Amino acid sequence: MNIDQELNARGMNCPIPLMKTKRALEKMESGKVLRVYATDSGSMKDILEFVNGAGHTMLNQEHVGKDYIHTIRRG
Amino acid sequence: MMDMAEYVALENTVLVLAFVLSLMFGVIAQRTSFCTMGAVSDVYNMGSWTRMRVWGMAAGVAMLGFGVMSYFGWIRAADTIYSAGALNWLAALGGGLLFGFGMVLASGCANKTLIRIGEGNLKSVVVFIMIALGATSAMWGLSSVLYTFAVDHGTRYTENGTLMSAWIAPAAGLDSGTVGLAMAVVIGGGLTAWALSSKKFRSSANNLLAGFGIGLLIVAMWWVIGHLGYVEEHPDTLDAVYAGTAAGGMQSFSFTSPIARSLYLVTMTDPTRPLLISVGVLTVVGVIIGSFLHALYSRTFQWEGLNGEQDTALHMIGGTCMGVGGVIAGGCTVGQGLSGVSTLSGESFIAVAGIMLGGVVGLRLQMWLLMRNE
Repeated sequence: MNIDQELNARGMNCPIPLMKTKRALEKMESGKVLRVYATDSGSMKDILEFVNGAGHTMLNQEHVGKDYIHTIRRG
Repeated sequence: MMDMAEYVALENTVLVLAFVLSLMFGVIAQRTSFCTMGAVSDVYNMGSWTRMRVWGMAAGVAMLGFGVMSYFGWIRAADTIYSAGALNWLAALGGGLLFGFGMVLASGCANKTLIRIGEGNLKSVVVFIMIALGATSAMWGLSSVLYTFAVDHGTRYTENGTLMSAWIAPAAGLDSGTVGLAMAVVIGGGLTAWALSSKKFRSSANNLLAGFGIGLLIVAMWWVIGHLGYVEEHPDTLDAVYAGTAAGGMQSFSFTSPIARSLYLVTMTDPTRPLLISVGVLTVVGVIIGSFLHALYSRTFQWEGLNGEQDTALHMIGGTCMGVGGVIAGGCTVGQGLSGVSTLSGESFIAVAGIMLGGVVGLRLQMWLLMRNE
């Protein structure tokens, strides 16, 4: 999978990972893929809900080591 | 009349039950990510009301439970710490604003801070200490002038106290217990119905667990302290008291002042004298341990530290604002927010409005900081 942009939200707690994700997606073109790295477990639910509600597509969410990794296609 | 040995035995029973309920609170809040700040953030950032519905349902269930218990005379609504002779509207609003602003900067309210400590978040330990210092300052130190100012400039003396049921009862020609129950059914039932009307809300077992579970725990704590712990005549003072409470008043879950009392207990206790353990202190410890146990069970326990100077500063400021604001407002998102609102105290509703508004201001600042740092 081609990742167009990566966002580091490690060490940040709710609501910062969500706000940064929202802001990053606003600046991207439709169809581009964003990968977000966060360490806040709450980001799994928050970012998924935002992505679904805003018309983007959550391609993958995984927990690897300390990272919660979200891969999102801009809608 | 109860003798001292019987009183101590009752106090111990109240403390043990309060601790068990707090453990359950910690488990449920950690499992379901129960978070008032998250609820405000979801509405503000993405227009999602799901977490606000969870909060609304918890408040609704707590209101219904309190209303029923008051109606049947199991507890005395006028004895709660949210019922007073004067409505301190400015303190509730201003303190609420400060608390709400602080909870966004500190990544969550006082309750969430305890949950995060249980999850291994060391930032929240810093926030905990700042809440304790801020609250101590507002209760016994320099910041108490803010409370005095608010009371001097924004107090409305009411004939019937702060409970809305007592305001309406004389006009309706009914007793306040009946009006309280009717209002609990209308407002509490309405909030619960609003939460359950969403299919998305109902589809998540965690939403239902958080809404019902937290609401029922608030009710259970009212019963433990307000019914079981009520002593008509204290064996020493002969006053009516609620066993196990720090100030002798009837209360349920609350976190700001108890966080301060917890730190005070650790730092200022004379080791040669018996420990002054109160329900409030045990709720703080219980919620942290409950969260810790569930974080281990669910494998979500993870050490996490501060992330640079700005992150540190924001969490320190946020914690201080919550400590000072929480005391001035008379409680936090759980104290005034759920416990206070369940009593139908007008002051609690004002404090909640302040907390929500302060949260929005905090979120605007967070967005401004993000854009400035880009």
